[in-house]
Amino acid sequence: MVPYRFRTLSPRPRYRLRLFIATLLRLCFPSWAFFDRAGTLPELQIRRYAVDKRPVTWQSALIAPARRWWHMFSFPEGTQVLATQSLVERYCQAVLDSDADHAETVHLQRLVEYAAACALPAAWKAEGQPEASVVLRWQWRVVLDNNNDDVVHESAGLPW
Amino acid sequence: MVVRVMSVVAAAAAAVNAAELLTMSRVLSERGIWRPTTMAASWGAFRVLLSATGFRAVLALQLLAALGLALGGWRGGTDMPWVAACAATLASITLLSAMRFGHTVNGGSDAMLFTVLAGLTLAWWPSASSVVHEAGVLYVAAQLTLSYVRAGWVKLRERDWWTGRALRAFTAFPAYGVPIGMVQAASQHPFLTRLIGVSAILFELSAPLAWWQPITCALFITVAILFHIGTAVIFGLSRFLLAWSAALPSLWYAMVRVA
Repeated sequence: MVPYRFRTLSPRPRYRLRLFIATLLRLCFPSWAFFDRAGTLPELQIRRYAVDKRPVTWQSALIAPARRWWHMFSFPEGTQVLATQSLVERYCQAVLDSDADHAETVHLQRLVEYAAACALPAAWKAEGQPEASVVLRWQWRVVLDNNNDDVVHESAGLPW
Repeated sequence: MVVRVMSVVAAAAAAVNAAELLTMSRVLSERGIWRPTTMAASWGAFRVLLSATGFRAVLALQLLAALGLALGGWRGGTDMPWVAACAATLASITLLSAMRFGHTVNGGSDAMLFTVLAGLTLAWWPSASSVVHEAGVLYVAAQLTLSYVRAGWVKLRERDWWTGRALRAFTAFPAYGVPIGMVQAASQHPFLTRLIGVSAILFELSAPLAWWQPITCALFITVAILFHIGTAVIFGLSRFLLAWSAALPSLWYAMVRVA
């Protein structure tokens, strides 16, 4: 299996104290507006290209694993999925907000691409793909509310 | 007594958070999502603490400080500066963990745990007047009440919460991992989702009643714990259960002061 080669990214030149102050303010003055965007949740999806170079169906990249009763106290796998979903929501918000900082949007896009790439092996396994090395290219996209017509961003075909 | 209970539960929440982040080390590595080379540019002076090795040490310190806070809460007493130090350390590490993810780890649960730990730092502050101690607990109670009212208010204004459509959309969303039986029940019984949606709005907006008298306070805290158990079981919001459970006793303190 040939792993996806993550691109090396240049660090952002700005945001020295900005992250500290922004995070402190966010924790001191949280919005508390939970579950306020019903029906517009952005979803990260991935798909691979088959051997004949045709793309296969899009599938969800972020699927929380099954839970047992004790997971109501601690659920690292679920926390990881929710943290990634939160990242996708921030990216979607940045893309849709015309006033958003371009550098921040690009940074978030890179993180979302990493998240999509990290989800690939499990998605292929769930798809019943026995040998990932036959996959040459893949794609990711963010859609709103699983509506295929409402695409926030769709990547180009990426090499595996 | 309220501060002691809050301390023990907050310590448990902080310890669980540290253990979870330690097991999530893969997504924080150079082959993960929040890889250090991509995130480090914004860390500034915190670069050493947020590096792979540094952050593991920070999480180990979080486990130790949680143990200290739990012991302080269990023993009780006054003028114990080390308990205040443990609470302040845990609040600082909650901030650092959020910075490591470039935003927050798990949204509101980080904010609520930070609020509780900041309040407990004041409540345990040595050689301070009782006003300072009370302010710490009342700050938590005020933020907690605000959290419910604000969450209820945004749902109140969203038509989909009244029709049940919002709840059906959230239960069907794959990232929440809602058990398939519940997803099917939500899609087949619109009345059920409407009932639960409206109940959630009414419950959240009723939070100020907890400040009124002992019966309403006890009733609200009981329903709140059941509510958070429900969201943990259905939506997997386990971090919310412990963070809000640590904050809920502050309502009793507030009610006693106000009533």
